[in-house]
Amino acid sequence: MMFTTVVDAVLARAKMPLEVVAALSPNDRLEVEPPAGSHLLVQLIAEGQIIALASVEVVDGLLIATIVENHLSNGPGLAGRRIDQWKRNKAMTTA
Amino acid sequence: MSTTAAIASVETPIRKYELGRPIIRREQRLTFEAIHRAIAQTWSESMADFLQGNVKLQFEGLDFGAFSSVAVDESPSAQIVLFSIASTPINGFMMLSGALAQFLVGGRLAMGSAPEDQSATRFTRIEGAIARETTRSMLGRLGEAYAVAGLGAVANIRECDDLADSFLFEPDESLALLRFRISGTGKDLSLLIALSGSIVAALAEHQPTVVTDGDTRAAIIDVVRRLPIEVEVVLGSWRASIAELMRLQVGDRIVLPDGEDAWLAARSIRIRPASIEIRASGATIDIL
Repeated sequence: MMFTTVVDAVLARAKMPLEVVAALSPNDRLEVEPPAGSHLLVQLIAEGQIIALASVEVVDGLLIATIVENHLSNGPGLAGRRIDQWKRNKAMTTA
Repeated sequence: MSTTAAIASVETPIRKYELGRPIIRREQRLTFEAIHRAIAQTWSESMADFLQGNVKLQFEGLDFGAFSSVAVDESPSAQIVLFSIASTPINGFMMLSGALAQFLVGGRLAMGSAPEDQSATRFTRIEGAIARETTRSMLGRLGEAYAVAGLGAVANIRECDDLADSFLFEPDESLALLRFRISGTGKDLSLLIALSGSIVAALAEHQPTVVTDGDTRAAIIDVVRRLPIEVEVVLGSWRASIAELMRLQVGDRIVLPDGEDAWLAARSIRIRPASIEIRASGATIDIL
């Protein structure tokens, strides 16, 4: 029997007041910026646990993640580095 | 007509005044109940893929009782996890009845509902691992909700086989008892969260907003509106085998979803669809 699970690729996370989240509407734009000199990172999450941290780059039009930390090999349940690398701009698009 | 002698012969039960029983304001209680009602919904939504028969975990209510009054499910498949709230004297435990644990594991393995008499059987090693993982995952979501509500961080998590031997509470210690249940299956699919009685007072300590007597409902909604919530930007998701994930090594490369069907999520619930464009200098997320 082969067990499978769903893996989410989480690009960023941040705490926002509930009312700000509720007010997000189409055409609002959020920006994610890695710290200067760093790659954009993505967390791979399965069953609520961070299983790996990967850097992201565009190669030949494809989004490629390169694993930089593997949390499964260190035991499950370890908290990964947080990706607090985004800022929010309200309705910057053509709306 | 009663005589004095007849009245004197009737034994009136004497109820001991419980000094240790916490005093809870109505607003605190309502807020605490609202938090756990939301947790029940979060659990149901996060487990929707394997909750058999489209059933839901529902919050039944909050009451207070001594630790010694808690009915412990002694079936071998019952799951008990102990925890504490970091930097506070508050301890707690979460207990899934054996029938609920069997129900959830059966759903995860797509094996259908266990017959009535199987709730008393012991899990296999794989089933036990799935049961523990499911319990931990539920506790993780509880911890997220408590953190958001300002109740503190759930810490010191450990499994427990026998609650009586946990030395967590004195027998007469007053606990806040939060009961959850999946109804309509004819089985005892119940879950209990027990916390030191002072947890509800802790809620007030972390809530600077004054709840007025005049419009309680509006005041609670106002508090909830301003609660911080953790939002995740999710590029996409895919299904992978456990074996494949276990083989992942540093340096491995994965082709990610292109970000066209991305979303924002809070507590694993999708709240807004989005489109993500990755550039060398960062990424842009457009809410759809």
